[in-house]
Amino acid sequence: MTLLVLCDHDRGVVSDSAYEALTFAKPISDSENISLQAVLIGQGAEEAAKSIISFGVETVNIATHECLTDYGPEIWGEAVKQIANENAAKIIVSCGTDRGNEVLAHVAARLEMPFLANCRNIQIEGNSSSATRIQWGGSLLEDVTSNAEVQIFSVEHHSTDPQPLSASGDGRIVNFEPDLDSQLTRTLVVDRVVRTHGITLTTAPVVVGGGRGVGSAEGFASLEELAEEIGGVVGCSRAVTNNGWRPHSDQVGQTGTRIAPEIYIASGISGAIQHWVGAMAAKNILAINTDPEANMVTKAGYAVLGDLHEVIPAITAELRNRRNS
Amino acid sequence: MDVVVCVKQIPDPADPGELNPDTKTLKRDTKLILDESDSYGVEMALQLVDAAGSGEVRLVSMTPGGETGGLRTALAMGAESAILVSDEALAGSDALSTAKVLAAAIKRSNPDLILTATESSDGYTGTVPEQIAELLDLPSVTFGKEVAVDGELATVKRQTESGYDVVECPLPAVISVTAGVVEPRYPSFKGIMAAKNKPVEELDLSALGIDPQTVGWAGARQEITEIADSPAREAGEVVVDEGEAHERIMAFLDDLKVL
Repeated sequence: MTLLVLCDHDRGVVSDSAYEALTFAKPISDSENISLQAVLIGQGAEEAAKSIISFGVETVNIATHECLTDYGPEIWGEAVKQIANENAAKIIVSCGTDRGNEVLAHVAARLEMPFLANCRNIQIEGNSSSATRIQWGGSLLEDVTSNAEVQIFSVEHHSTDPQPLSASGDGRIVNFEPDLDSQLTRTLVVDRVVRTHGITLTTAPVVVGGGRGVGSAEGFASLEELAEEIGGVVGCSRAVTNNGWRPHSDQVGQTGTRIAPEIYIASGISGAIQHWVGAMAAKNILAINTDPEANMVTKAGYAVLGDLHEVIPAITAELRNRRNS
Repeated sequence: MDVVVCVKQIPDPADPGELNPDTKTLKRDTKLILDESDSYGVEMALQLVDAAGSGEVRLVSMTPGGETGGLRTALAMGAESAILVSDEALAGSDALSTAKVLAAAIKRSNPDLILTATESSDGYTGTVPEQIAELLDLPSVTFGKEVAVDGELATVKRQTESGYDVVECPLPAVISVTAGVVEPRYPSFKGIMAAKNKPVEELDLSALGIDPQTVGWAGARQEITEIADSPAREAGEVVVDEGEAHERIMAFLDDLKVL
């Protein structure tokens, strides 16, 4: 019996999310005394395998097939299903990223097993499992038990700190060629358009967010300057995109991007639940607002009651002073 | 071109109601509204049918209790009709059971395209669209921000972290639509009046030929043992700016070692 971890990588560079899933899965495989195995798919999988093998994994399964070079959720799901069957997988885990959840949704449908997405605290005991799952974007926590023959979970992204696991050194890499119908590649990626290079809202260590309180599109100039000086990016609330001050790609929230920076500087943002859902994974929050009752002020680790148009440029100036001195 | 949009009726997020300690689910006796995430799919479907010059937008929804408030909103926007699958046995359905029910209802409608939201605001699983596609054996594209249809081919701009992919797939297909990518129209007064007379076909599980044992609590193979609010984040220090707040902020940022 095995615990399979689907690991995401970008052309051989293993994603943090994969290390989160492995860190999460390791104690489960230890306590249940079942083999911890990884699954890698796509271009560069061999390179990625070398990084993962030192992470305490017994076997890294690489799915090799000419139809698996590029990402296709359906065909990747079928490949994972076949690897799961081949290795008598009892538990299948990935990180709850968009891609992880998407592939596991296909795997679950193909295995006709329930899938618990975005879980914390998974406990397995024999044939039953219990897990805490987030709902309403994290404002509710639900405890669920299940006795499905194959337990399929994704782990809430950013809820686990990836820990480098001790290298056992005796892990092996196995190539597995699934039997795939080329019809499963019917969704074809014909072009990739990259708009942002370097840090994005999802990966930025600092996000400078602006809300209705910024007042105008031009008002964001000072937020841009601060973001540049501090090495972060600008985000915004829904009110801002509704007013056309910023594009939707900058929107943080349930109907936008979910961020997890070291610090979120939320200026002029009241913090409605829909926005909070996208910002709650931030490790620290600094709120700048004129309203002491604003949700964001009551939830922030540090809050300044004042005018963001004065405070933000003053921080930028302070940072510049330091840099020049 | 006929488009089916899967829509969910949920409690108002601003006033989600209480938790039911017996079933460990949200009480749904408050008025249900159209999940805002779904209004984008409805709008996109209306635009695609307009562009095609013929066809209509139909809705498919599932709820244990037979509510139609959210459906009427989407009908008022311009959808022509709705299928509402309603059955007490549906309570407790997980994503796969939900997909099973919606897929069966979609089949009756035989559309050229199926649109959904990327995830519901309440359940928040985001796996139903892909599973509907699996059950209907149709291609699935998620996180669509732009959809264009040319004959039998759909071209989708699929949102990615750093930009977008252009994805092509044959129709019919199941495409999930990212929120915020179109501006959902407000129902006009005329639309609201017309919606009252638009057909909402209410079906139970037997009408769809679904065994009640395969859905709801019985089919989910899982049990909710507890549900609670997330622990609140503790408020930190609050200071009033008297011209020197930036210095305090610098000290705070220094402490966090983010500079």
